Amino acid sequence: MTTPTRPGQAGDAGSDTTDDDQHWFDLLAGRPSAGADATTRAEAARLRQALLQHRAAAPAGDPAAPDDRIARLLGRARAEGVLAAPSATAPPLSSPQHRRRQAWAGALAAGVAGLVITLLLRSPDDQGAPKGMPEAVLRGAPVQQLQAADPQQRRQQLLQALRAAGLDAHSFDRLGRAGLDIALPVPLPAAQARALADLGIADPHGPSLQIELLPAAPPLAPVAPASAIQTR
Amino acid sequence: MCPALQGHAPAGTLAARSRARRMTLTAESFTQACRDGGRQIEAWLRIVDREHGARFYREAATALRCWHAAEDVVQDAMVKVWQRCASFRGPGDPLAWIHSVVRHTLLDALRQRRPEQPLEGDDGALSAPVQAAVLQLSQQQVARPDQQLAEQQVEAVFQRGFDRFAQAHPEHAMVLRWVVEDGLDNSAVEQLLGRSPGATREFISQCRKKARPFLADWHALVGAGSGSAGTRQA
Repeated sequence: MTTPTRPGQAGDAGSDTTDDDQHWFDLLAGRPSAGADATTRAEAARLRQALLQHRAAAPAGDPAAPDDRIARLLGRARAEGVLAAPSATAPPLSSPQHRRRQAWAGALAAGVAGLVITLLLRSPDDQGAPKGMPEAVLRGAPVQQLQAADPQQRRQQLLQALRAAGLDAHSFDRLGRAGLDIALPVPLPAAQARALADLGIADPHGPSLQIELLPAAPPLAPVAPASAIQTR
Repeated sequence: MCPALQGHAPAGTLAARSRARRMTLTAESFTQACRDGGRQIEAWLRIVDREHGARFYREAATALRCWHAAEDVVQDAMVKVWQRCASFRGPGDPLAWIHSVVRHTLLDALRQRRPEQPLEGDDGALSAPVQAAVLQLSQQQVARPDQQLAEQQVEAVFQRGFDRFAQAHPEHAMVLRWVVEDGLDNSAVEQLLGRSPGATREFISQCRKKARPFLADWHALVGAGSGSAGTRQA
């Protein structure tokens, strides 16, 4: 049974109002919500109508010119390692005709050379294997991953430790993986930074962090001595 | 302060621009670009900026009240998209995913702009000095409900209350706007916040709870007008 609070009342919206909040949220989004209290319906309807009438406006002005902003965007992507340096992606070229001739000649030469090298080096093991990319594509991980023999148990330990350190942490399960969702103050106080470090978690220098707990890999089989490896 | 953007010479090769013109923004081409990197990503960056940049920049500028900061946030998001592209789950719409990354980054930016002095205590109630200030402002600037039935005045009270709410809790106010304007459901908010379902439900409850004191005067006005039992927050 939910205990709806009247709009404008700053009473404590504890766990008993969670269902009521969900009704309010659905109604606010314009979805029907069977079972919602009449007061909640009225509150959500009024707020929805008011927000639709008072859509926020952008400040005066416009975005930067497309060429300018794309130049800054590409520069930033290169600085972050998403794109390779300009010399690798955009070799200096003179005229369009010269550029086209160079491109065709280059493509032909590269194709012939690639074919020869491929035929010379091809081995049965290579078939279908992806080759290295000519340009480095660096991508950061959106989450930090930790390995544990028992991910569920380790998650529970981490959850307790994080909360004990005063951090807002919640558990989640996604695609079969146990995880933790942590909201962090910015800047992170030293004591909480130490607590993270003690748990083997790097400071993300941002307001949120997700941890995924992966099952620890089984111990590796003994490696055969080099002399025992057969080459084809 | 919102400094003016610096001009910059056009960048990129003719080939890259030509590639950007030919490419279509599908899940397949996104996945391919993520796998191949380099020029494929450059083409995606160009075409997304050309075709969708304006609305992304405008949305961010609306929230941040600054075009310079908006560009910073949107471009930060674009870089994140490609740093995290492997986590995109096809065959969904990559543009919707990119938009959610932009909004997530925008919320991060809003969160980092939080006021230096907390406006409320651990229990979510306004701290004593803030409560006193709100009360004083209400008495000075807001007439009593019986004096203020005109529609324009009611709108002004709402606008003022919501603006204050957005100043104190920019992240919550922004999400509320998106919920109303785009009809976001729990899973969309969950993705937007990068939070678990439980944490998202708590966030939703907090949105309602945090908005209440700031909209109390408005609730009292419109509640009184419609015969509902609104109470004025002291």
